[in-house]
Amino acid sequence: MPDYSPWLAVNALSPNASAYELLTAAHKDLTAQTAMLDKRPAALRVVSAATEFLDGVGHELVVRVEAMGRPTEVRLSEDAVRATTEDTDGTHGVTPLVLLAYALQKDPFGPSWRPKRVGHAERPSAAAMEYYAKLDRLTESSTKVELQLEEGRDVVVIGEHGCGKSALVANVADKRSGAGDGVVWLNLADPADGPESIMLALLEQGRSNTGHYLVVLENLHANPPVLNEMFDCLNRLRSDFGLDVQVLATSWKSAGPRLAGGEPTRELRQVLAEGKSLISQLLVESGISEANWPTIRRLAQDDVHIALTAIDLYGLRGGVPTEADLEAYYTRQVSTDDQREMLYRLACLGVLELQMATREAGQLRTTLEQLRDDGLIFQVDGAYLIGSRRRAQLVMNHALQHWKAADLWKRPEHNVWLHLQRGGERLMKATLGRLDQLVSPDMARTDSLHLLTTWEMLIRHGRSMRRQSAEDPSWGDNLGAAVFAASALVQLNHVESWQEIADKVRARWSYDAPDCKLPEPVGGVTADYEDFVKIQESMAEEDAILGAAPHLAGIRADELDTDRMYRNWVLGLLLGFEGAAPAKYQDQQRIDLLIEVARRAQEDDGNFYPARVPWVTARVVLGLCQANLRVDHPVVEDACKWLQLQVSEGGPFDNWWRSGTGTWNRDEATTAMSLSALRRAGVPMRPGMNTAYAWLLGREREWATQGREIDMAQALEATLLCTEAASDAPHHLKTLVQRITTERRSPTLLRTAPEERLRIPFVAAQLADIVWRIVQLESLKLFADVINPGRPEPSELSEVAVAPQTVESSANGATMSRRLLRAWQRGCEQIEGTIRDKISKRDGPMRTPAVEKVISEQLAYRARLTELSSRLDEHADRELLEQIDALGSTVCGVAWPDLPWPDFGPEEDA
Amino acid sequence: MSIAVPAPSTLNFLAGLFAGAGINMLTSVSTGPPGSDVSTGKIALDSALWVVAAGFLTWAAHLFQAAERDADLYIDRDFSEPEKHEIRQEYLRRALRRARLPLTMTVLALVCAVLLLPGFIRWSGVLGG
Repeated sequence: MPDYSPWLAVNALSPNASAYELLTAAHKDLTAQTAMLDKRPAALRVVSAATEFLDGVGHELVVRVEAMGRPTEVRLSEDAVRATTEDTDGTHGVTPLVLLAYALQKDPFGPSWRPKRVGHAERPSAAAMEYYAKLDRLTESSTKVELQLEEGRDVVVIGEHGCGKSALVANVADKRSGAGDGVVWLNLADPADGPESIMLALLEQGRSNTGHYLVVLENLHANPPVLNEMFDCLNRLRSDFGLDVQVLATSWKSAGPRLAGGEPTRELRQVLAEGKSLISQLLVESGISEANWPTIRRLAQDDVHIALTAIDLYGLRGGVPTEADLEAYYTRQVSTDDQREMLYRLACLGVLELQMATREAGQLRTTLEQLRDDGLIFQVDGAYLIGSRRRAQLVMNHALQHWKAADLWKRPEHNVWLHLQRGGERLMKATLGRLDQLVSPDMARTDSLHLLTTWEMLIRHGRSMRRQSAEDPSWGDNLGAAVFAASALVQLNHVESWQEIADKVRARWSYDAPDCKLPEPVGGVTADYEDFVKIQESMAEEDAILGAAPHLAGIRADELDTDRMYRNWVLGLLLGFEGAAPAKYQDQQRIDLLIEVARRAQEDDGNFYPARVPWVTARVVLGLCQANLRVDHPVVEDACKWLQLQVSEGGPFDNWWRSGTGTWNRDEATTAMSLSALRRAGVPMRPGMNTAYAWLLGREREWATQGREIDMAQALEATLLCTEAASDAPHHLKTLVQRITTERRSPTLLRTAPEERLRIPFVAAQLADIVWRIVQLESLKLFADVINPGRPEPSELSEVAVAPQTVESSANGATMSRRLLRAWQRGCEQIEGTIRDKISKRDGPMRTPAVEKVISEQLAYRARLTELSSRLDEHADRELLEQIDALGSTVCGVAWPDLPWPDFGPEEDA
Repeated sequence: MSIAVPAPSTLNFLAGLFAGAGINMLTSVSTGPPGSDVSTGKIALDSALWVVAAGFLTWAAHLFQAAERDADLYIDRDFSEPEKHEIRQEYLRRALRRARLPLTMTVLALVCAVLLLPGFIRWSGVLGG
């Protein structure tokens, strides 16, 4: 139906059409669409429709929908029809029947209702069903499922990834369909699949012959926020329409305990599916000798799909395939870079059991179709996926090792984040909801991460900031507020607002003169300058308290060049602003100009004026990092070195960083900012940074107090960057979200106080960044199996030892990759943390000789560690790594991990 | 040098015996045959001394118990055996210093209570009365 227009009659109306005319036209369009459906009556049938007038409400289109002889009335308002038909580009595809499906929900059209794409309930393709049929076996799980369904219960099949849940469900549903039952098939991995999809399917598909309907819900764990609405809709179908509906669902094992309960209470019987028993049956039937079974089992790791492929390959080659064979098989016939990129991206998503919507593929859609036709990927419910998680791991492993995929097409966790950003609000919410509750397919979380709550708050906040930005893109001529608001708006997908702000910011600052030393304000200083005047006053107060003793950096408040300090800070902001610009607005020329300005503005010892105020240097480093520079760039390197210099050596570091500006930007905020700057620049956690971080943690009472949200957001960011673990974040994230929500409801900001003006945009930008970082960390946990291979087995070393030695391979100093170096640096951090922990446990009133002995022992270990970690770089030799390894085993005991070793070649004595 | 301190449970057990002895004396007087030549006041004083001794001993036991608990809280799983031993000893040593008063008072009360036992020492003969 290429020329079919779902709103033909409505679109033919003039823009000034009355409500009556609009609703009558909508009625016509609805009738036209229902007439095009199958001749057989639908499960939910439109009996009649009429435009009616109600006092106080106006005209409404009243539609009577019937199932099993029970008619139910739903009302379509003028606003709902207008909102739907204003979607002129048709991206949401809301037809009259989709609108009716919305209307069949409880309280469907709120004041802010806007149409959204509704996922269509599509059954797997014939090819997919054929594949599932290959896995159709009578197992204990399949018997239990059929028994429970016969007893009229709702069933959820839970199990490990790749255990054959989907195949089991598909085969049961196929049998029910063959027996005449109606089947509605949803895959919740598509965030657009929701209760409306069930209603739409029942409005479109014919009535079942038996009067029974089976609603298949695949991947219940994928979208926790939608579950309550989904089961509410199913209850409504049972109670209001009298339909005999049963649910057959699949879910991760870890989500099992959370599936019961809910509102309304879900009576879901859980059946555990086990890959082992199915693999056993497949092996027995395959005719492969029993001696080879253990090898295939090890290869499959309880994944029935891998086992099936291995059995097929055995048939073709006459031998048990290796992991490399499987990798080659799953990436066969891939020749072009486009195909490799798409396969790699799908593998990155597949490890997290995510799928790529067709529209996300963009211009590479034909590549995906080619891969699908070659049997390398699947298309289900309008999305592409690579298959089971284990298969995704194999493909990703192959791509990382043979195609250098991480260098060419971004790291796996970045691909996931890009996918979430492109997937829109619902995908983001679904994924964050899942991350809040579940760690992995096998592990549930005891405490929520509060990501979904944070994100929902940020979305509301983003809308309000977008409005504010539309009214005044210059944010009251306050550069800080404008830049942080722009950063938050980009992360919340309000890209156009960034452009509006950019027009103002770019017109306000000039830095393109050949010898420009610092950005020049066009038309006088911005409102932020007022802050710096106050900062100088605050510094003067600090000087008065210090009395005759000069400040550490030796710069007195009355000697300060306020304008220079202000413009250095502006330089940091502008670098961050241009560096984090959305791809389509990014202007590399501007970034290069700003980097050049930074090079000229940097002092000889690496700081950015004034040396008394390290947060200015930290701000510039943060800006340079946003412009994609790291510590390997000379400007960043010098600034980072200066930040780490002790006061005695002319630097700002004195176990932590002092603000140098009195009560303005306190020591906690300055320390958090400096730590963030160093970590973002790629500086590993050195002992001094650990000390500063420990100090920051100890000052929690200070930075967590009411009114210091900026400090708290900065401390939270520093925590994530320093620990690279999200476990400490949720508590503070929750507090921060609560405070900002309260602030939104009843603002207490003092508009006259300069710093207050950028508090909300700053915290919003930080929170969006923190959410991203936690998602990245959590994704990395799932990617860990692929990204962090274990230490080489001794057998591999001995194999290498008998090979002829070359000069290069026998050298005792192979270059370590960044990933390996990072792993060893983290090992050193673990040793440092353990030592600190051991000392702090003993640092109490009971200093007995044995305790003193242990403390001195640990101090000696720490000194040794400092010495070893200072030598740890990409050129570290075997001896150094062995010493670190030995120290790690001594200090951490069994908690010391097997770190990945670089290939040093055979040992000389081998 | 190790500190040998009886376990708090033993001290509590002894305190229970002392208190029981005191109360037993009171009940035996109140339920005994009338016309006894032993002064009721003396027996009441003696039984009160037994109970006071029990009270002081319980106080001492509490101090040792608190020291053990503090040591347990201080000692972590990864402490070595010598560390554990020394830390416990140190806590007990400090507790013993604090328990000197209740222990002395216990001994005093106990000695007095024994000396005042009816028929144990004929005080009139000793004092020449």
